[in-house]
Amino acid sequence: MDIGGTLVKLVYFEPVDITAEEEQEEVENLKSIRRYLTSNVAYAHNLCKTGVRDVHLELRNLTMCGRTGNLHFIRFPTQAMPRFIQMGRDKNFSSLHTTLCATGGGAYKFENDFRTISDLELLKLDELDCLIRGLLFIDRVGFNGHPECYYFQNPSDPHNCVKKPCNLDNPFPMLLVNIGSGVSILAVYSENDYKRVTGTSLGGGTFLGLCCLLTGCETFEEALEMASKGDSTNVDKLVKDIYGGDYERFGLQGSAVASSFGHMMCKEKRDSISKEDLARATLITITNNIGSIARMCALNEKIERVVFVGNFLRINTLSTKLLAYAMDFWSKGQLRALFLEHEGYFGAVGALMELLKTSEDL
Amino acid sequence: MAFNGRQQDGDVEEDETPSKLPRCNKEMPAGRSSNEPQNEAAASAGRAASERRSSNSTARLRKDSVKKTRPPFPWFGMDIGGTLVKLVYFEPKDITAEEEQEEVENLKSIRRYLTSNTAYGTTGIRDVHLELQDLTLCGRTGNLHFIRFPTHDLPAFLQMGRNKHFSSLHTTLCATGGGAFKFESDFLTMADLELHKLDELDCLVRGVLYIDSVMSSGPLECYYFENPTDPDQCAEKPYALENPYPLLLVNIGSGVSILAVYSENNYKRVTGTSLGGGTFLGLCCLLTGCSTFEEALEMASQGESTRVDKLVRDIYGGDYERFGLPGWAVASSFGNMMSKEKRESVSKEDLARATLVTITNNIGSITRMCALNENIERVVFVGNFLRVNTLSMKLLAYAMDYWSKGQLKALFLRHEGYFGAVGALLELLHPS
Repeated sequence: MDIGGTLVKLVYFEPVDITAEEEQEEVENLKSIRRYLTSNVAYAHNLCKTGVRDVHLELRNLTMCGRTGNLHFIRFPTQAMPRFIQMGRDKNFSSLHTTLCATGGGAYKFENDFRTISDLELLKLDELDCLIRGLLFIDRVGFNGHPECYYFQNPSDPHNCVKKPCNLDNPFPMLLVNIGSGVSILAVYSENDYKRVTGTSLGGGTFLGLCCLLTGCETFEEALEMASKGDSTNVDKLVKDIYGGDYERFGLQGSAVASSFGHMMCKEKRDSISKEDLARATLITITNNIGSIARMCALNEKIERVVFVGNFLRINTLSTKLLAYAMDFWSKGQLRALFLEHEGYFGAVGALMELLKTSEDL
Repeated sequence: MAFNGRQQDGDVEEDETPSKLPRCNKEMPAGRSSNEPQNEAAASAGRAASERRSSNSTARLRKDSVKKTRPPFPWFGMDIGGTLVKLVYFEPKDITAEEEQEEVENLKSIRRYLTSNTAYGTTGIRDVHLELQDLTLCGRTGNLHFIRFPTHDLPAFLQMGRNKHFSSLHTTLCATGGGAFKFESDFLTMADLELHKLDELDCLVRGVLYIDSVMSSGPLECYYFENPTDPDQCAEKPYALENPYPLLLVNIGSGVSILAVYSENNYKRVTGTSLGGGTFLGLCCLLTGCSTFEEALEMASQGESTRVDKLVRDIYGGDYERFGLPGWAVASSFGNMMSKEKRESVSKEDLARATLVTITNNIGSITRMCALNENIERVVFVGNFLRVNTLSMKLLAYAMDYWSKGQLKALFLRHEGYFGAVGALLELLHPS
C-alpha cells in the first residue's frame, strides 16, 4: 500500500494456483476479500464510487515468492482513507494475522487509526526506497511480455512523434522524477544507492488545485479534458510578446514562454480567454517547471536518462509529450525522457516486495 | 552632433570630485580589483578613484576621451520590459548661465516636466526615494532620476515624445529590454526616434556594478536580512559588495533570468524560469479579482497560505525525517484546493498569499540549485517583483539560508528593477 498526499495506491496479489485443499482451508474473510477485489473494477459501496482497479495494468501469471497469480492495481483518494480503514475493520482483516506493508506519508499519518480502528499494525516503509525497488522489479518482470518502459521518438515533431518501447537495461545511473501531489527527484546509482537530489512543491496537486480554482472543475480527468481543448498562448506571455520575435542572444525562441500567466494581469485579456485556456496554461506551466528543474538536476548530476513516474502522468499524454520535448530540446538532444506504464504504483509494489522479503527471512 | 555647451576647461574639475566618479575611460580594464590599480589609468571606481585623481596624465587621458564621447543632453537610459518601462534621467545641476541661454526650449521643457512632477499621466511614477543626488557622470554633476510606467502605456509616451519634438534634439536614445526590439519601428514612425538597442542582461550587469560602486557613501545600495523569519528580530542590514565576483544575479521581472557573473565583462545566463512576477500578478488577478501589483501584495500580507497549500505534515502527520523535510514545508502548493470544502473555506487573501509563496519559493529553489552548481555563495536578487515586496524578500532570505544550511546568502539592492535602464544610460555615456 502507498498512501500518498492525494491517492492511495494498492497492489493486490491474487493467487491463481490455489489447490483444492488450500481453498478448503481458506478462511471466509480472506476469500471474500479476494472476491471483492477481483470481481469489481470500481469499488462503489465503501469507497463512494472513487475506488478504481486499473485492469489494463494487471500483470498476469506472475510468480512471486513461489506462487503464481495476478497482480492487481487499485487506487482511491486518500480522502476516503477513513472508510477504507472502516472496511478493514468490518471485514475483520486483522484476524488474518497478516502484515500490512504500507509506504507514503499516510503510512505514518494513519498508523494510529489503523491500529485503533481496525486493529491492524502497519509495517511502515520509506516511500522512495519502495519506489525504486518497485520500479526495478516491474521493469525486470515486464508488462505481460511487453516492455514496461517507453520513450518518444522525435518528441519535437508533432507529426512524427512516436511512442517507442525500451528496456531499462543497465539502468544506472538514472534520474528518477516522481510527480505526485508534489515532486521528488532522485539520482539512482544502484538498487540500494540513491539520493534525493531535490524536490518541488509545484506538482500534480498544484495542477489540480489551481485548475479547480480557475475553472470550477472537480476532478483530474475533467481538468485534463479542459486542458486538451485550450490554448495556453492566450494566457502566457511569450518571448515574442516582449521582444517582438526571438531573443536570439540567449537562444530563446519567440514561442518560448517568458512569463507564465503573464497576460492575465490585463483585464481585456482576462475577459477574452476561456476556462480551457486556463486549464491548458496551468498544465503547461507546472509541466515545464518540472521539466526545467529535472533538466538542471540531470546536468548537475551528469545523468542522461531521466525517468518520469507518478500519477500526474496518468492518462496525461499532454504532459508526457511536453516533458519528452523539453528534455530533448533544451538539452539539444543530450537528455532522454523515459516513462513507465505503471506510473504511480511503484511505491505500492515496493511495499509488497518488502512484505515478501520479510516473510522469506522468517 | 550638438554639444551640450560644456567645453574642456570644465573637465578639470572632475579631478577633485569625490569618489562617486565611475569608470569613465573605456580603455580602463574591467573589474574592481580595488587593492591594486594596475596603472594610473586603470583604477576602479569608488574609493580608489579619488586617490588617482591627482595624477595629471590621468586627467589628460580622461579629458580627451570625455570630450570625444560625451553625448548631448538629454541623457536617458530606457529599459522596456514585459510589464514595465524603466527610465533613468540625468538632470544636470551644473548648468552655466551661458549654457542655459543656448539651451533649446524643448530640452528645458523636458527637464522641467520630469523634475517638477512625481507622477506622469495616470500611470507614470518617479521613485523620488531612489533619486541619486550630486552624482558626477562624464564630467557633469546632477541628479539621477528613476521613473517607471506600464509598458502598456508606451504609445502615450511615444506621443509625448512626438509632441515635445524629442527627435529634434538629435540625441541617441539608448534602450534595452525586449521592448527596445519590439517597439523599435514604433519609436521611428510615431516619434521619429532612432533607438540604440542594447542587450538587457549586458545592461543589467553593468548597471548593478555601477550603482553599487557609486553608493559607497550614504545608505549602501546592497543589504540583507538578519533573522528573516523572526518578526521581532528581523533586521535589514547593509552589505558591502566589495570583490563582488563571482555573483549569482537573479533578475525577477515578468519572468526570471539567472546569471553567473564572474567579472564586469564576463557573465553567463545560467537559466531562467517563466514563473516570475508576471505569473504572480496574473494568477492573483484571476484568483482574487484584484487588478494591480500593490493590491495583490496587500491581500497577500493578510492571508494564510497554509490553508491553501498541502504541507508535509498534512501528508505525513509530522516531519518527513528521512530526507530532512520539516512538517511545515510545503509538499504540494495549492494541494488543498482539489477539495471542495477547503476551496470554500479559504479567503482571497489566503489565495494571494499562497500565490506569492509558491512563486517566491520556486524561484528560491531554482536559485539554490544554480548557486550549488556554479559554486557561488552570494546571490543578489533584483527586479521589480521585489518592489515594495518585503514578504518575498524575507522568504527568499530565509529559504536561501535554511535550505543551504547557512552556506548561501541572499542580497538585495535598493534600485531593484532599474539596473537595466542604468546600464543603458552608461552605454550612452561610455560606449563599450
